[in-house]
Amino acid sequence: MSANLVATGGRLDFYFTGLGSGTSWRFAAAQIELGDVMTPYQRVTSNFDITETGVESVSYAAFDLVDDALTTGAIAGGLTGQAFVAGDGGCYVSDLAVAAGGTFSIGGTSHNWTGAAPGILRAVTGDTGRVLDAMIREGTFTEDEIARLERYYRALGGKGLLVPGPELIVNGGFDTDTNWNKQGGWTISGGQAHVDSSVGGSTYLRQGTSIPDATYEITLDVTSFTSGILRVAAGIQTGLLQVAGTGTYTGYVTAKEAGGVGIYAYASSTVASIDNISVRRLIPREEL
Amino acid sequence: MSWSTVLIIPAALLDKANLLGAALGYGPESYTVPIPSDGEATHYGAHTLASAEFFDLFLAAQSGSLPPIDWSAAGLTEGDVLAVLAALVVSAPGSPLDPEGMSHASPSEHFAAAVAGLEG
Repeated sequence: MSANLVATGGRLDFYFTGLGSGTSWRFAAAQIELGDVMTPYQRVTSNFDITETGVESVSYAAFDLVDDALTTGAIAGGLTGQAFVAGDGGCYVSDLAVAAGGTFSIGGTSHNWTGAAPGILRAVTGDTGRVLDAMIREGTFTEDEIARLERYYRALGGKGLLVPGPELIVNGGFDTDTNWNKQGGWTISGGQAHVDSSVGGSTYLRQGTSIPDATYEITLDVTSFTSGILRVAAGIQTGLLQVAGTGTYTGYVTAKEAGGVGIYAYASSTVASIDNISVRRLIPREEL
Repeated sequence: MSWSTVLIIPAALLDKANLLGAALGYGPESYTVPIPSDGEATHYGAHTLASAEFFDLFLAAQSGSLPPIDWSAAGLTEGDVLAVLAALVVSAPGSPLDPEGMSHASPSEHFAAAVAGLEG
């Protein structure tokens, strides 16, 4: 048997020759592609339902990483436990406390979920916005449960548990005035870094080289805060975590460029002091 | 068919824009992204995948033909609706509103480009 494909007036017709009379044939899985390299067959039911030969089908929720959010109904008795979220970029487990009658949310403008630090959804989805699963439970997941879930979602094309890699910052305690790339307005003294951006305008304090599309876990103590805005930045100004008061902050920042990781005095009136900064890349643990 | 769509409204019209969104069935709080993201917001934004029906409604409303909704029950006047529509910035490349527009790699890049266009 042979088949020919003929384009006729905007329509494609298949012509078969060599079919014996009285023989029935089933013809399926036709795929027409430009070029001379055939790719795996895809069945496209809709933009959101595409099946490809050799690729496991997955169900997922797609977040736009702008403002999409999902919220549960009220959890009558509340919950003290953990959340497990899996996505294209990896899995993550975070502690969770929901008051009686409260809700659990995922997404939103802070790109996280209830109880998790801002920006974590970008890391878990690998910046695709695809969440393969989100579950919450009373109590904690055992290591065995997490490992089983990891294996399942890795088999579906996801990645394993996201864990912080090695510390990337040298002299994060500001014990000496070394290692840091300081722009105007930043000083290091007394075991802390201080900024007064009225001296040098909007400036940064940073070190290292950020990797585009990598997500970093950044923690720092803001020991004093008078005015302005500090941004935790990966790259030059692509930070998500904003700081506007004293306290200990943790956030996840996805770099868009190779510009170092650090703190950016965003407003020209920023006066603050910081200490104990830690920056670690978030990596699926199978890639450590 | 749906298209990545960014909607941006001046902060002064936020309440009325949210009332309009609710009246059209999109829920009580459509615009949740403050612009700029630090300091006092001058605008608020939203991203959605909008259908052809949305653009039909929007284009008709822009030409003065509002859908048959009891605006007073929604807490609005027709004047409010027209004021919101006049101030609303809509970016939807490839859609019936902007058929020649170039799409973006992701919704977040689309949103960032729309905000940059606002600032430019």
